[in-house]
Amino acid sequence: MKRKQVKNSKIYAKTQAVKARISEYAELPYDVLLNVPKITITGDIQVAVENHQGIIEYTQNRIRINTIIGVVAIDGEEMNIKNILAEEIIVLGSISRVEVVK
Amino acid sequence: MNMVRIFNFLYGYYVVTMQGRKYEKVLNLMHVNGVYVWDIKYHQDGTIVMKIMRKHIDQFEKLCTRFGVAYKIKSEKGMPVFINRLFRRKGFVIGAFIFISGLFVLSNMVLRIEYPTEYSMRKEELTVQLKEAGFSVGMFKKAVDYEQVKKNFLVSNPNYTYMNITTNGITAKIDLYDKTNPQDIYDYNEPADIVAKCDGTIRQITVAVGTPVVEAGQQVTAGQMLIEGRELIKIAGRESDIYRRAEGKVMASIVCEIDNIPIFMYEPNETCTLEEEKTLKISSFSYKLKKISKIEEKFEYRINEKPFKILDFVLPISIETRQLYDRADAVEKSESKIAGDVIEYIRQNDFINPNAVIEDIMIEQTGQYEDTGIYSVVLTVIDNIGEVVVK
Repeated sequence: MKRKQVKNSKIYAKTQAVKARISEYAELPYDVLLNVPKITITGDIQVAVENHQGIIEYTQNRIRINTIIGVVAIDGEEMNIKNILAEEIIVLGSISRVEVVK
Repeated sequence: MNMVRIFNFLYGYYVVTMQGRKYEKVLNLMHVNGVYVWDIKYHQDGTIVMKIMRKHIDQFEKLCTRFGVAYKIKSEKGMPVFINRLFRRKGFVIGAFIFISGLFVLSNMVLRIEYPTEYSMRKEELTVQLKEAGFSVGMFKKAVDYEQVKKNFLVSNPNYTYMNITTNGITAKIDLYDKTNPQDIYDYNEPADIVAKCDGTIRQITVAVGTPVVEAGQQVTAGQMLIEGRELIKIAGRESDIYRRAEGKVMASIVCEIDNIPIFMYEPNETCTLEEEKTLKISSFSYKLKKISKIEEKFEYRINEKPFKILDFVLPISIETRQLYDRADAVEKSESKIAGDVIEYIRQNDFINPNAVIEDIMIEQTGQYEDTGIYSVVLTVIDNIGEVVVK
């Protein structure tokens, strides 16, 4: 079982590497082909996370969002979630730190 | 995003709170199942407040129940809520409907008649004439046959040659053109005399052209010459007479008799109390606000109509007050009062020239019909009796 998982992760890594190359050569955005999150920070008031995989934690001072590359942790004060859409989460508040935890 | 908000408002939404350990899971599952939530806020007490569409509330409740998250619907907002609330207030809806209908009806009516300039006829008289022609305040604009009104008006008022009615909103503007008769052109060299048009006694004679043939104090009969157009002039020391158009004024006292003048014989005494009957008039409809019992035992004293006004704008709504008094309180009018009423009647009905001066009046009652006396009058008036007759 464990061997199968390792094999799958290797295939996945290879696929991602191929996709990354195609993106590079075709000059396509990485987030479209690789499905990696696109994090847009507007000043210190808004963070938009595209291609997310759901919320892991939500408190007033910390929001953790799951993505394919790991967990995006947003720290700040009085943080609200403006929208949860299929592709995007918009976080509003006084943002102090955005971190990708692998 | 504003469009999304507008749609949310139109479809309606709930403001809900949830509290529990697994609310993140509920949030994730909601977004996986296509339940749209927005404005998610975390409160100090550990509750999460958010907005959710009306149609998704069942799914939300199921998810919360499944994961042991306590939830509460805080409030309901949006257009459907507003409409529901509105229809629960029946009085308000009916009132609003009546108000809008009233506004619609009033805006389709002519509520004001405007005359841009002064015409030979007074505005009040014009309004009466227009009413007779089929156009008055309070009529629906579309119900008026403007061509027929113009035709009727011009037929009954030959002093006007052209008429136009333009409606702008609730105001109707009436344009009229007075008929201008060509000025009388006299040939002053054409011989003409002034003769008496009726019998009378000369009081004063003023001659501009011609020779007077009568003098003050003289009695004249109809057709008798008063001023002759012949004049005696001196040309180069020789006297000769020429015939011209006589000009002058002959004031004479005329005696005229007028029969069958109906005058109401009674008036209220000083101690009587007047009762008022009030009628609300809206255009051509009327409704009695205050009725008086045993009206057949009462006499009418005065009628007063008071229209409603908004600033200078007169509405087609008025209150008519009719003052009445008991027959028991009625006293016969004095002779002077009857004389005053008779003179008013004579003047109103154009029995005498409006410029004529009444010198003497003799009144005699010749009959009576119910409460109205029938009078005969012998009047002595001073008036111009001269009439130009071309030879």
